[in-house]
Amino acid sequence: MDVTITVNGKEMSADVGAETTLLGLLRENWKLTGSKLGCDVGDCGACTVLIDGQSVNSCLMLAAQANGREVVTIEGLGDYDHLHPLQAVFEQESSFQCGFCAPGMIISTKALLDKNATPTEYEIREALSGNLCRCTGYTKIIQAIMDISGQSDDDRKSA
Amino acid sequence: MAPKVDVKEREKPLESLRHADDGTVPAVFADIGKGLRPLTPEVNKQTPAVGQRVTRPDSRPHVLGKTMYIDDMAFPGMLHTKILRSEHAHANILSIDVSEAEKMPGVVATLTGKEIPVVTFGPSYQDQPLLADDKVRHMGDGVAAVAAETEQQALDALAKIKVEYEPLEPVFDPLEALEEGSPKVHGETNVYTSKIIKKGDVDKALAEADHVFERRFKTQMVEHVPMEPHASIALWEPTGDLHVYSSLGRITLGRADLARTLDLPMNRVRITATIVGGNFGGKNEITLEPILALLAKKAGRPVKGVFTREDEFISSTTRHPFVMDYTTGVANDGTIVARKVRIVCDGGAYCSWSETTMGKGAILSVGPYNIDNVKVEASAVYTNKTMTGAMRGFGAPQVCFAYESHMDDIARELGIDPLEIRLKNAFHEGSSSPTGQVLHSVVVKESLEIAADKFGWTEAKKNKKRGRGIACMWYPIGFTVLANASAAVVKVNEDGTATVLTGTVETGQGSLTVLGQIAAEELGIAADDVKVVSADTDTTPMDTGAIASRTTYVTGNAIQMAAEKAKDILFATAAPMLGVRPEQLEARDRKIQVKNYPQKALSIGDVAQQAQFVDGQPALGSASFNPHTVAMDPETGQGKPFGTYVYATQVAEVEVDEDTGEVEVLRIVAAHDCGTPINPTLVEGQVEGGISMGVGLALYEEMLFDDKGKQLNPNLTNYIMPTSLDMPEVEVHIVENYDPTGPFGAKGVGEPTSVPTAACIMNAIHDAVGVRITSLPATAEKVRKAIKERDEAKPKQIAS
Repeated sequence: MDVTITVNGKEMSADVGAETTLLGLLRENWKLTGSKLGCDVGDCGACTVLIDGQSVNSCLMLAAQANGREVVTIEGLGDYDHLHPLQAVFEQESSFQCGFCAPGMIISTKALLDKNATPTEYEIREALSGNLCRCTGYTKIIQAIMDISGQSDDDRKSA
Repeated sequence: MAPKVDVKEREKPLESLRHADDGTVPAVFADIGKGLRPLTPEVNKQTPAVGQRVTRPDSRPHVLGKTMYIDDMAFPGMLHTKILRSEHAHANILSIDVSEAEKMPGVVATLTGKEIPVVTFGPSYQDQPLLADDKVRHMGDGVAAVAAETEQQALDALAKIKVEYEPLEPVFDPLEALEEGSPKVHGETNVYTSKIIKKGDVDKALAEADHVFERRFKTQMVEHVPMEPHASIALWEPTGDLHVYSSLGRITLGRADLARTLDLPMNRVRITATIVGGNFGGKNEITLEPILALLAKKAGRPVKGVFTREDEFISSTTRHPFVMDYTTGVANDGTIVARKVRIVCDGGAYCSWSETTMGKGAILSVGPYNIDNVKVEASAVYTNKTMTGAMRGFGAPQVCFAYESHMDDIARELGIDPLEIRLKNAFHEGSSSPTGQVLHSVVVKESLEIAADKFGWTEAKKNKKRGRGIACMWYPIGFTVLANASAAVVKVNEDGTATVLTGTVETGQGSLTVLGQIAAEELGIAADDVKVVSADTDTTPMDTGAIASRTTYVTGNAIQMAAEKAKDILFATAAPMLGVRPEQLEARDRKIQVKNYPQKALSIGDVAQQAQFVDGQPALGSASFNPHTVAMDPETGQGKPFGTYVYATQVAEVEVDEDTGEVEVLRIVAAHDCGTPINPTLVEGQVEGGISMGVGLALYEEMLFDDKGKQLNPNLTNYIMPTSLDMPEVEVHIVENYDPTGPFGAKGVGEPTSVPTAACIMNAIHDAVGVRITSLPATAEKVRKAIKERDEAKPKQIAS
């Protein structure tokens, strides 16, 4: 079946099987490999993308379900010379180690900050609870988000 | 902490881009990028390089989603592989028929164990088949492989493979496996390796001790859970050479295994490792690589294989469950006079890294304490479960949980503060270890004092439901006696920059950043002036790999030595140019200069240009380093098994819900020794990540099996690892130290970070609710049951 999806601001079409997931379409057909496959059943969040501004596990969504909608992947946020502010702060704070979860983490963070520019530490933890990371203990990720949302350590403690 | 991000600067473009109507930020980079400049990390350009919070060179691809992991790579005509796994935990294979599978749509090639030139491999004993050909020993054993045009076609074809089994009686419990009449997993006995350490006269000391404490502790099987599953691609170059792209963390030994199992000369086998998406010990051995190579040969096309999350659980290595019996003799004043430990390690179906895990576990099991009379007996046994192998800490988190829980029991019974009893018995500079090794750069007491002070140990408890617990540890750097060398090449370029060649693999820790800083420091240049090229067996020198917390210490030493040799060439070149002797020169701030006369200097670039193009003596150095060790006596275990050790303490604060048994870890204060912190940000990252793994070990993670040996929770839905909501607030303190045997005084930090976590959490639970959890994990159910038993044991109050 034919699907047409706006991906990172650009309208794209493909002929996909009924069982093709959105992640499969992004990775296999369109070579947008920034979204990762870590578990294939929606547990790890490495495949997180935005659909009409909502964060979604793209491994759980069929490509057909995304038809006519707007998808944003990590590739849509920035490039080498023009980092998105979230990418810049993740880099600055070393909020990754092996990097496999980083794209999903950044996308989930964007979904949070778009709705809530000054989240409490608990709100940040809650927003990221669907994104697993085995390397960092989440500490430097949370730190980066507190920093970019303009909150001091004192805000964090009282939150 | 890293320097604060300039939030206003960052928010400006973000704010200007928000949609007026709903306040969201559009995410199309053509717009959002405008006016934004990536931060220039000044620190990357500064000298000296060591000690700087340098930004990682791989950070940009990571945050952009541009890092190429194996599954992100594709080659023209590439096929996909899936593995059929055993239906039985223990059975003879009578026959395997792949003929129907070969007729399935999209199938190009199949493979069984009989077709592999040398089917078995393993780091200690070659007891593990790549594909089982005569017998299966656990349910994760692969029995056949299929390569097809798509993953789904490969999966569909697996269902058509017919395997006839003759089931055998399995054994799952490690203590049962020790019994004479138990089913045998391999050969005549299930015990395949053991170790004894003896010092003093333990029986006499126990008989004479004022107090004797005894306790059994048990730990569970745990999975590494790297976010990137194991993955490889094999292809045959037109020259007939094999080229494998792999997520392996140890390529030098991976190549040896590939060459041996495929019966190929090493120079015809090339492994290129990518950035690895998490290792933690689980990616140290070949898994799919030889299978993919043979399928690629048969198909004449490149073949990719990626583990599913279930494969990751059922067929890759895991953490050894330990059964540990402790008997400790203590004097009235709290001095430990004797300790006897018996350890049984559940090795699962194959040896893998059991010998190392058991050995390290045995050596460390006494704890970082001066004890004159010691006896440790450890053995590893086969069972028909998922094999256990290398995992962050090699047995140390298991024994630390035991010796530190035991220590708190002793302190409590004798009415001594837990911190005080540790300080009383802790190693000091020059202490003799249980194997008779004289220890140097010992800071266990300092780590105890710093962690306790920063935590506020002496402050009165404010909240009744809360408890606090302390645990310290020691941990060695590198392999147990076994040779574990690394080699390195350092080249100085004619513009004053440098290129380092290393065979180690970046598995997420930031090792390449640290190694670059070491080379930069020796050459007097900045981190950004160095490029580290790694992980290609054709172009980079041998390296024992990203294992045993050894990269900074062992590979770092090799790089420092290689850089020194390159520098000597620069000095020899510069000396006549400056009219001085080479020994009067130093490399500093990108210059070769006369010591104490910095105005008499040449740029490193000019000197390298002269050396390279005029003198015909390029500034290039190569070197190798192997930690100095002395073999352990087989009867007594006496020897010098490691080059050096690190020390650490963690203090936890927990809150326990008495009604449900749920434990919340609120805070962990950690004080870790790593020698010189080459990059403090990366040290903090290791500690924070290690603690999250320790929290999982302590409270949540456990691989469960049914009575047939089938895993019950081989997925991230039912295997619970810590999420952002479970992670406590972590405070990291780096204990000041310098190890003269390390590069610029550095040791290592990767594994020890997850060693004391479970122990300090268990001690905090005891402090909160007065129950001693002796088997991990401390699930809510287990804690609730212990609380109930505590209440039932209390004398009933008389109703008024």
